[in-house]
Amino acid sequence: MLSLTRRYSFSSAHRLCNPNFSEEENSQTFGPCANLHGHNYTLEVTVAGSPSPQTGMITNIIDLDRTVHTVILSEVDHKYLDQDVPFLKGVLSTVENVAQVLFDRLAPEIKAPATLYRVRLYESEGNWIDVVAKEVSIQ
Amino acid sequence: MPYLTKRVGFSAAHFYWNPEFSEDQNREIFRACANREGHGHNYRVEVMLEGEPDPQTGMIVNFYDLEPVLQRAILDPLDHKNLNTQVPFFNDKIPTLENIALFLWEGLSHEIQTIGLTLHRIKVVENDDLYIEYDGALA
Repeated sequence: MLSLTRRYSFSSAHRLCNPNFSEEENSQTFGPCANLHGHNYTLEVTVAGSPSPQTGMITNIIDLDRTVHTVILSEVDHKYLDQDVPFLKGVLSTVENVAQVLFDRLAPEIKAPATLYRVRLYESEGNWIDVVAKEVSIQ
Repeated sequence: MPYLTKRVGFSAAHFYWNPEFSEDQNREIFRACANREGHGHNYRVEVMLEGEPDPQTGMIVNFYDLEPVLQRAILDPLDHKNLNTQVPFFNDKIPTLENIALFLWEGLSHEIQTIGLTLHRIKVVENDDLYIEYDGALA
């Protein structure tokens, strides 16, 4: 498989809070993450495909950047994830859940014949999540 | 199965231009990369090899054997070169990251076999926010 990865960053606030838990349960379960805090997230978007004979590219980076900005970055950067982002309403904003939502949101927007292979979301330098496509159809 | 990765850097100039496109098309598709005077990068190549450690040396590969291979396959053809004009592989292909990965795989997989190893994957990094990975399988 040939894949291209592009890295982006966004800065957002969030807190881990299950509305069905009491304040004490949230504090016990999530520790300091139950308090409002923020991260510089790093998002890596990996698309798979073959180089176009005309352009030599799996996908044009200009188009990819525009798509990621429109579909993700403009919605989350400098926002409070749990309150300001419609597609994260009702989602416990763990890095696991946010990565999955971003993958599901981005996958249909990738221009064929390229396909979205992986979204990697770093909450900090020390922890990240990979969401990987179940199947990759290479055309 | 353990995998060993060795990282090598090379510096090269390139530009993106398809002679079958009009000047306007080239500038529209490739933007700043269409500057035919060229621009450059410090590329990083990560070469991932698979193999079992030799019971007598404890090494998958002796670096004294590996380094000349990387010199021949990566540095000799690409380092401090103008990719568009000095690398025959790119006579009819645009030297995008994708095509650079295909070029390197061709040379490396042949050279790595001469020292009795298998090339598992390569990663070619153009800058901190853009890289290609290739495992040899292209539809």
